[in-house]
Amino acid sequence: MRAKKRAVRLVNDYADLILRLSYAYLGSKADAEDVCQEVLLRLLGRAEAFEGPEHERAWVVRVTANRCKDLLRRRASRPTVALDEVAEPAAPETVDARALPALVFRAVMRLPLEYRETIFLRYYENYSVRDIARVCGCSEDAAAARLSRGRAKLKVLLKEVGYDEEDL
Amino acid sequence: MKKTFDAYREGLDALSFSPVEKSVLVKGLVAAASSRRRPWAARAAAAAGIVLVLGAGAVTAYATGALGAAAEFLQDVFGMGEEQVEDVSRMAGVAGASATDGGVTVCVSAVIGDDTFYAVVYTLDPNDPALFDDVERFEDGKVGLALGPEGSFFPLVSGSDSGGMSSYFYDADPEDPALQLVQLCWAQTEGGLAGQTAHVTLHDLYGWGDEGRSAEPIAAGTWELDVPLEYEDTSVELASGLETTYNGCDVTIERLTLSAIGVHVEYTLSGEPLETSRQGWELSIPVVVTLEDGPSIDATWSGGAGETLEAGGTARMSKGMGFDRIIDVEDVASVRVGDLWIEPGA
Repeated sequence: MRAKKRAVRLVNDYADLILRLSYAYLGSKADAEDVCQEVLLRLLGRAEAFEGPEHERAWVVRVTANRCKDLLRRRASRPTVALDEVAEPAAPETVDARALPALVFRAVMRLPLEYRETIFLRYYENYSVRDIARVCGCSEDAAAARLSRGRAKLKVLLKEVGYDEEDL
Repeated sequence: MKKTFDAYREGLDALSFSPVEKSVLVKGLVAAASSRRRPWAARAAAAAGIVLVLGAGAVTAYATGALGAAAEFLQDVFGMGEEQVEDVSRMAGVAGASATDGGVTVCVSAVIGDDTFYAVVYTLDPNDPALFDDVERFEDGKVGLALGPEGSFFPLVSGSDSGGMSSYFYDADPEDPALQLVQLCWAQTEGGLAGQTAHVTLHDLYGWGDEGRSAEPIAAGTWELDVPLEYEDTSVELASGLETTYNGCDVTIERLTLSAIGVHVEYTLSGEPLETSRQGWELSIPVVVTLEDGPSIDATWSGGAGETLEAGGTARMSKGMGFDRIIDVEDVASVRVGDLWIEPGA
C-alpha cells in the first residue's frame, strides 16, 4: 500500500517532466516513455532520503539526462531527431499564434543535442548556467556558450519557417 | 525571445501522459517493486550431518535468473536502486556452496567484492518452517539471531595474513521461513581476493534480544562452507606515487584503489610529525570519497595496519573501508587522501 502511494506521488510529480526531458534528448516518444519507466523505478527503489523536494527534482533531471546520454552513446550513430508524431508543415507566410508552440518546439528539436539540452534546462526547468553546467558535465563558460549559440541557431530556424519574434 | 520560449514551454506541456497512461505507469512501478522479494523456493537436500559442497559450478541452487536473485539479496544489503541491479548482477558471484546440519540448510546466496573487501549473503533455510517464527524482528530490518561462541565463524581466506568482519541477520522475504546472514569482510592477501576461497565455519544458531544470547540454541549444528570469491572485481587504481602531507609528515601514496564496494590506500609516511600524542595517529590520515551528487563516504577512521613512524625513518601504512552501499565508481567526484583530492579519470 505504501509503495503504491509513493508510486502515485512520483508519477504525478515527475512522469511528464521525465517524458519531456527524455524527448528533448531522444526525439522519440516511445524511447522517452521507456526512460521514464526506468528513472521512476530507480527513484522508487532509492533508499537514501533526499534533502528536500528541490534535491529530489534535481536528482530526477540529472539521472534522466545521464540515462538518455547512455542510450545515445550506445546507439551506432547519433540519429537525426525523428519527430515521430507530427509531420513538418510547409513554411507559412504568416505564423498563426495557435500554431506557434508546436512550431517552436519542432524548431528546438532540430537543434544539435547540446543546444536543445541547454535550452530545455534553461527555459523549461529554469536552471541557472551553473546548474546547466553540472547536468551537462561542462564548464559554466561552455554552458553559457551553448545557450547563446542555441538561441542564435533557433532564431535562424524559426525565420526559415516564417517566424521572427520581432515581427510580433 | 521571451515570447518564443513561452511558446516553447507551451509546446512541451502538450507532451504528457494521459491519466490512463499514468495509472498504467503506477501499476507497473508497484509490480516491479514488489517482484524484488520473490519467495525462495529452492531447498538443498535435507541430508543429516555436515554436507560440504564446493561452489563455482558444483552446485547451483538456482536455475535461470540466478544472477538476478543474487543481485536482489545485494539490493537488500546495500539498498541500491533498480538501475544498479543489472550492473551488480554482472559483478556478483553466485557461489552455490551449501551445508546442512541441525535441521537448517545454509547456502551462499550472493557474494560481491574487490581485492580487499567482500560481502557474502547466506540463506538459512529450516526444515521446520516454524523454526524462526519466534525470532525477534527489529525496526531496522534486522532479526535477533546470533551464532554460537564456539569455534571460528570468521571467514578464513587462504593466504591472507589479516582480516576482519561485521555481520548481521535479516529477513529478505517475510513470506518464506528462511532468514539471511550477511557478512561484510575484509582480508589482505598477496595478489588480492578475487579468485580466492573463504572458508567459513558457523556454529549453532541462538536467539538474540535485549538480554543477549538465548540460553539454548534454536538450531544446534555446524555448517562449513567454502565460498569461492568469484566475482567481478570492479577496482580501479586511482593513484600511485602521488605525494601529500599529513601531520607535518610527507606522505607518498603507494596505491589507492576504489571499487563499487570499498576504498583502500597504501601509503608511506616520513619526516617529523607535528603531533604524536594520539596513539596510532599514523593511521588517521583523512580519506574521503565524495560522490558527484554530493554525499561523501568518510573512511578516515576506518582503521588499518602499519608501522610506527620512528625518528628519521619511514612507516608503511595500509587502511581502507568497505562501503555500506554499492556505488558506481563513475559517480565518484573525488577521493581525498590527506591534503590531496584525486579525481577518478583525471
